[in-house]
Amino acid sequence: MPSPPDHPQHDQFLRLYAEHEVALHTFVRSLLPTRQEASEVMQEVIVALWQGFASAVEFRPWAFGVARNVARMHLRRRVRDRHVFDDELVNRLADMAVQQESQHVSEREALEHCLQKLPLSQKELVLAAYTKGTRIDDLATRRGQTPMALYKLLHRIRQALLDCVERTLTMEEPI
Amino acid sequence: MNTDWHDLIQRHIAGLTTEEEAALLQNALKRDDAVARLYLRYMNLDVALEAHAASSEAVTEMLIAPDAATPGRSTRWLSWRPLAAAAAGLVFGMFCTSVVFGYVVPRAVAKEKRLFPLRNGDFEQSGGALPANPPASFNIWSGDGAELVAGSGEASPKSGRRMLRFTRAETDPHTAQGFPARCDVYQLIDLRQVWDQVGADDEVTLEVRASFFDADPGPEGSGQFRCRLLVNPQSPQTVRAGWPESRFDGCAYVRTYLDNSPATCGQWRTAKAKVILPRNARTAAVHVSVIRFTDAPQPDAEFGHCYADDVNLTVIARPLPRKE
Repeated sequence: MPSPPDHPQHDQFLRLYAEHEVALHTFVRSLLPTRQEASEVMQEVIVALWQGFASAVEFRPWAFGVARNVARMHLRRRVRDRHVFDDELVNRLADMAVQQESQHVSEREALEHCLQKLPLSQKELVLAAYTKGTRIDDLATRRGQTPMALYKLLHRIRQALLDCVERTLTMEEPI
Repeated sequence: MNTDWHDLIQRHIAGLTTEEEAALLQNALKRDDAVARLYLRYMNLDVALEAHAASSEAVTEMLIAPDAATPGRSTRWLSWRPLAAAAAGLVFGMFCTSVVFGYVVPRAVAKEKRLFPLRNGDFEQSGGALPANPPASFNIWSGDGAELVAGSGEASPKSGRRMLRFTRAETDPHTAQGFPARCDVYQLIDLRQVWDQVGADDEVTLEVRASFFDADPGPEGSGQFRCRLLVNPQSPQTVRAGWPESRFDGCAYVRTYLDNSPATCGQWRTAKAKVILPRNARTAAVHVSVIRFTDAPQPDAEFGHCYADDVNLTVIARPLPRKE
């Protein structure tokens, strides 16, 4: 368990963690097959980071290293599942995710603009689908659709968002 | 093999790939930088949408403080805040402190939005002609001349693969002379489903949205799309039995018009109407229609170029402010 609070260190940790949290979450998500697993691993990562936190120096590379190790330990428990990436691929994706972080930050900024451009019904649907605890089959039932039809619709919305983000960043559609 | 990587990556994210497809994806991610970059972009999108969903007012079944979503930069800040706050909450939680969620849900009066289970509101289920009015049961669409169709050369669905096509007017007691020519489509809703889900003291608003498309306004004259919500104190059985007059008995209703013109031709437009539900309301009818104003009666007017799609019903429950 974590040690009792040391407020200055705790505050410093929180500031650093809040600054890097989205990047860490994206990084962990890219290594794991599901959002649920990524959320679980992120909780382990937070605990591991706090337990190992000593100084703000080089926090970012250290935190990414911790997150990579926690994710790999998690994946080793599922080594026989062919949906789970092997160590070689996890390391490759982890390296690329770190390299591309600034690009990903820009894409997240552009996404704000692209979400506003979505038809309202699609925006509401995609956000409903991403709401914590939402089951796609339940949402599909509520909408009178089959789960597969809903997956396909979400697929098109995500692809449209990705296209919009790309256009926005290449200045075809300035924000 | 010509693989659709967008499709494969998204199915992997959704946990829908077979073992063979998962192996194919792994191999591609190892040897192809472009596929790996695309994969990481989807993962970035996945996390970003999750963060938006955690903070967006548009999300269903979510409590949110309405005055928290201030425009401009603070909105962006807020949209990322819950993740950090949640994480911080976990850390704070370790230290038995509980102040963090004050960031996310401050003091304002909360409201709750739910997508109501309007059956086949996107018209994706099955195709072909709708059953004729009056509605034979609840939660089905019925109409004058109307059918569910796939996209065609003149119109594509607003979303999905199908949409509603208005085809033919029927004589209506309220338009007995046949004009304006009107094609009506309804779905009857049993509001007990709503009252079961909200608090006894809540103010409940029902909001309907529908999108319309006119592919060819034609030379016959001006026209309108209409989106209407009728609420009625009678039981659904009584409303159905006394159709069509009963739909207006003791009724509150709200409607929105969209005028058709050459300028609006060829584009999807959305109409929205909302009504505060009287506590005695037991039945609602969602009504979408197209109307053509003509100088002469046209009891069987054709409407082959008019479409609707994505009809949504939302329940908004808001606790009434307490008296001091």
